[in-house]
Amino acid sequence: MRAPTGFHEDRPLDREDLLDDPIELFRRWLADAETAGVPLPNAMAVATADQDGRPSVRHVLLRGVDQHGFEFFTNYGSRKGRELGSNPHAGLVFLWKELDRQVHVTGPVVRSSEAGSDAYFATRPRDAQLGAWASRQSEVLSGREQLEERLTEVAARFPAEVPRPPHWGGFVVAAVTVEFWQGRRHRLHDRFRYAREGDGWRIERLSP
Amino acid sequence: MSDKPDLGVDPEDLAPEPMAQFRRWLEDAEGEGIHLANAVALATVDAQGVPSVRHVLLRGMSERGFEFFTNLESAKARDLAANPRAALALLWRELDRQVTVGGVVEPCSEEESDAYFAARPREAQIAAWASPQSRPIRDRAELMDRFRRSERAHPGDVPRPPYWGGYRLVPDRMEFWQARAFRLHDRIRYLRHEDGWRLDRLAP
Repeated sequence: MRAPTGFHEDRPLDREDLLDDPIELFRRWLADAETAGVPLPNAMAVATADQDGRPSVRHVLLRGVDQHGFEFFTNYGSRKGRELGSNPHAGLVFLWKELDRQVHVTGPVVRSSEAGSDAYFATRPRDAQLGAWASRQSEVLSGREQLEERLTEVAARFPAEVPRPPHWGGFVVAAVTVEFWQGRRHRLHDRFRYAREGDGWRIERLSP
Repeated sequence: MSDKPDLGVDPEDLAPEPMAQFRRWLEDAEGEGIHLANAVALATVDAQGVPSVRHVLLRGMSERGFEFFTNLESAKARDLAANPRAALALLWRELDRQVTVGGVVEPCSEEESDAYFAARPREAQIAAWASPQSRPIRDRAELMDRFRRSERAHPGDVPRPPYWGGYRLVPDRMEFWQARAFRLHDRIRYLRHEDGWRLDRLAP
């Protein structure tokens, strides 16, 4: 990507700006994006691949990040859910245009614990909880009415609390590489890649 | 999302050709003043089947597909050499819209890559010579040193480096996603068939 000139400042990223732990640095960058007023700063593109090596990618919202990895929630029967079932690896990328920054992550993926998925589902608004029951994600519908009818049905079925559907839950991407990309003038971007090495991380500057 | 109108999308409203529909949405995004409306997440898969994704800027599109340019020795180009299948996702947060694409890439012609390279600013042309993309370098000083040497080597016109060029992603699947209330988003998928495109509504 080309850093737009004359619109943003030319903001360097130097080796001494880095932290030992890329998760900590990621948190700092996410907080910077929030402070800068980036809309949906936790939106990330999640790339998965099927067993034949055919990739697909879509945006989802990051719901948590810690030493275990980057967590998001979805319908396990969706395309990404099915692909992660057969090929449990993902790539992630965040783009914060206003800061000329990207972070990308690769790593193996595991399902969140049942308790973790329950806890997150319980915090969702009722509409979204009902939507999770009503939608057989990624399946072909005859029309929008079919979806709205299902929503009416599940709303009647769960007049009070809505339990988590068994086909819905979290995934955690355990980072093995994390790259921090800072756009710079003349396409001379700063890029640093962290790669897991034993218990720690090896850090390299990459050519832009 | 609650402060925005709940805009619906129906298959009847969409263009029969997905590239035409894509153009409409891209124009809407540009009309909305979205910065870098052409930034796209590009997913590739390495020889072991492991996916990775980064952003590039769409530099052109035709009925045939989407064009982007890169260093042909970058990580994404190495992936594409081993497996030409790729996927794209564009998110226009201000419009609650997303487009996703799957397909196969083909190299742009030498003429197309030359023409696009010639249109780039001089500094970006020099940078294409100076940067061994995705390879480790010692520090920024090394990069700036390479940049200055490339600048001296090309005092006039800068030719396109042989390791730099374009790809065109030819879609076989495109999906248009419009967020709606209650998480009941509209998703319309185009699938390529022998004699055109089939449109389906997908569950959100």
